[in-house]
Amino acid sequence: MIRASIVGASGYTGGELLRLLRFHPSVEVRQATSERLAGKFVHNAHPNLRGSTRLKFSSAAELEPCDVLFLCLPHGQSMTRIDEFRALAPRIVDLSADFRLRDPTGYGRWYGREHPRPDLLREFVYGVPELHRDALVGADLVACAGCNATATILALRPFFRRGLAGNAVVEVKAGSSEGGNASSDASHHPERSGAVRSYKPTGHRHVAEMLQELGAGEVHFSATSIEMVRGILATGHVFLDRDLSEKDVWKILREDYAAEPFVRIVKERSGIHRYPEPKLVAGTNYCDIGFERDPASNRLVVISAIDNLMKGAAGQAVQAFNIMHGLDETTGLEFPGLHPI
Amino acid sequence: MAECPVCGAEIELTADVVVGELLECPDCGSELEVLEVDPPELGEAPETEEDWGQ
Repeated sequence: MIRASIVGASGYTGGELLRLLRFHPSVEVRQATSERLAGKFVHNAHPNLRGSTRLKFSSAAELEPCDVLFLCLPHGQSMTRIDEFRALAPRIVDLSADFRLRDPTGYGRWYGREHPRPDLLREFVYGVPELHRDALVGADLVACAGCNATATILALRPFFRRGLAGNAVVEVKAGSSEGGNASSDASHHPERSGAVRSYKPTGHRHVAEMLQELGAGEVHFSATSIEMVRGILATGHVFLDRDLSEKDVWKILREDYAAEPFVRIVKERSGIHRYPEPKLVAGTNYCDIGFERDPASNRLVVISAIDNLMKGAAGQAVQAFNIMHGLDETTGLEFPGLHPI
Repeated sequence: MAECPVCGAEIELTADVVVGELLECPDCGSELEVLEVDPPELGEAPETEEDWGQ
């Protein structure tokens, strides 16, 4: 059994990791830390786990050596405490933004701070298996991608990497769990309920990852909070440099994703589920991708849907973990979702 | 094998398929009609579209 511990396990991504790893056949969850809830059963923070584990939260000061540490800390903490964590485990999967960017100057530009350990940035593998599977095999350090970045990159990359487009506008509709489990004025129920709120029309931090992983071109990204707890719907407007038929687009997406266990092409001719829809992937590790070619212009609309806590965080982390350890990458991630939901 | 005329999916036809038979593409969900059996050829079957544009 692989001994795993989760640092910062009282948040939503930590809870999802606990849910996934608790039933993973090759993993023993040794510790889950929370300074606020140390000594309390994990089901105090994650009531869905009641009855499935008697694990209690520990303080990070009580962490013991293990095989893998999953870091679910607020941004800025992993980068300053990485040596402490590496002394405890030979393998680290970081779910924060702290090691996603390879270029240290990106942290100054996008996160407003200098990175204290730029020497480690190129040692971390960006944790999207569809892009970096080979590098993940046997990797010791993995930085999971941002949720909006995951949805956007998987949708756009087939077109950017072929040089079919170098310019896209992406609008993301995001659920409230993207904001984490800390309350704020913005999350107060009378303010949040029913909201359709532009919260980042420009300058979203995840754009740094998009530009890094897409390699070239421009991504004009906006994010909107909507009445949803889990999920992301990314609608990308790709302006093609050459004419493509819908059949051509099918071919491109099949070339990249037909063998991917967690990417599905969703484009039905009829019915109500013709394009990706976040609630249909809630709780799953799927990224559904659909598209429509605008016959009146060079615009290709590419649509992707993920669960931000799963493919956009904990599910991606477990998929990467499986690949790191030479396990079947779908292990522990087989849940197909619920319908209706 | 026949190709879906809409999305290009490879579709396996049964040995007893006949001209005029209707089937559904497993990838794009298009309703297809068998136009020829040897060599196999599929065409789009006519369908009624929903109007979502209110």
